[in-house]
Amino acid sequence: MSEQPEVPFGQPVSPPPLPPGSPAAGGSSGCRDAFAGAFGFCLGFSMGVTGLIAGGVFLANSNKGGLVVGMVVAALTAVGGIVLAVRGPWKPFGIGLALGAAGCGLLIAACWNFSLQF
Amino acid sequence: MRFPVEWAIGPWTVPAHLVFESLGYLVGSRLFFALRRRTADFLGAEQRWTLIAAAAVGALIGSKALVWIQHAGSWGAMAAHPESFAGGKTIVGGLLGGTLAVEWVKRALGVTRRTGDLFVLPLCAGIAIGRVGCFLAGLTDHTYGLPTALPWGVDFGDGVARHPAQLYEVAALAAIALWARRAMRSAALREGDVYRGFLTLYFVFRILLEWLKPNPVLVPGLSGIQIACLAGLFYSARDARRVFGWKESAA
Repeated sequence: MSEQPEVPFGQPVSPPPLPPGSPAAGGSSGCRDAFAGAFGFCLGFSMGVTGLIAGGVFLANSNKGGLVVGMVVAALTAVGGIVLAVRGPWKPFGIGLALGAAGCGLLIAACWNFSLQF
Repeated sequence: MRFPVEWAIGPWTVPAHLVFESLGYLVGSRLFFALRRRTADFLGAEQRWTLIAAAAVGALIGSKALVWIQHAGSWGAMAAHPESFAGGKTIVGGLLGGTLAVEWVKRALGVTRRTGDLFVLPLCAGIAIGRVGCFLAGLTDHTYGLPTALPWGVDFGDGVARHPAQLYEVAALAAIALWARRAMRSAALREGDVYRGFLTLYFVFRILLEWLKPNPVLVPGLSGIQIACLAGLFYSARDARRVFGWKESAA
């Protein structure tokens, strides 16, 4: 049994109305989400890199200090991103922010040679 | 071969470890999305992406936290060099942190089905590739094994032949991936069983492998990583009888 309403013979069949909130109904909601996610990713990654540079140049004046600050900033940004993704209204942005910051944090940790000087 | 392996690219010296770790993330993520396209993922894109992000954040935090636990006996000395708290990360901590974060986010999103199976093969591939980088990093990475007289012992530059513990892990991950591929086709397994089986096999392997490494001991006979693996086994091995077919063979 068809779920489509019957249409009188000869009349053009129009597509069913889209549910509100679907990507196509909102015009370009899919594109907007993708853009928000990409923007969040770039921002999250940049936050970690900015922390890395700021920590290295201004605060600790050393590469290791920069890595520490970069990692802390990346971790805090990533947690903020997840909270936004789960509870906030900007889910795609939060997902991107968390992924970008976490990726940056993991790469910063990869740059580190664990050498304790004692 | 001289350790650590580094490549000169223009004016920069790029450590092989960084290249292989980045490659591990890249290959793992590509494989994940290829598998997701091939199989019918019951999660919507937004929910799946939220879980991926949660896994990444949990992995970042967990991998750091377990290093601090692993070196709990050195905190006094490390306090004199606070930057040393930022050094190192562990895969076991990453797996546990990622799993906990995903469980928390699933609860928040109201997702009740198990979602880990799709991650198993990408994790095997990504970790194995990253471990090759650890091997090429040599002594600086602190993932090598104890001295050995076995013919395949590797001299990482200090004149001592050691167990190539990183390569043992690559071999173990290849075996786990083969098991997972077979298990994914099994009709006897339920959703999430392959991920739990992967965690169980990996944690058991790491408990054994850590005894071949010069690790700081947290409690007599056990390092922090081994204790974390035991804790992880409480979560992952609950359904081990079904996952590994023991119940069927006993019946």
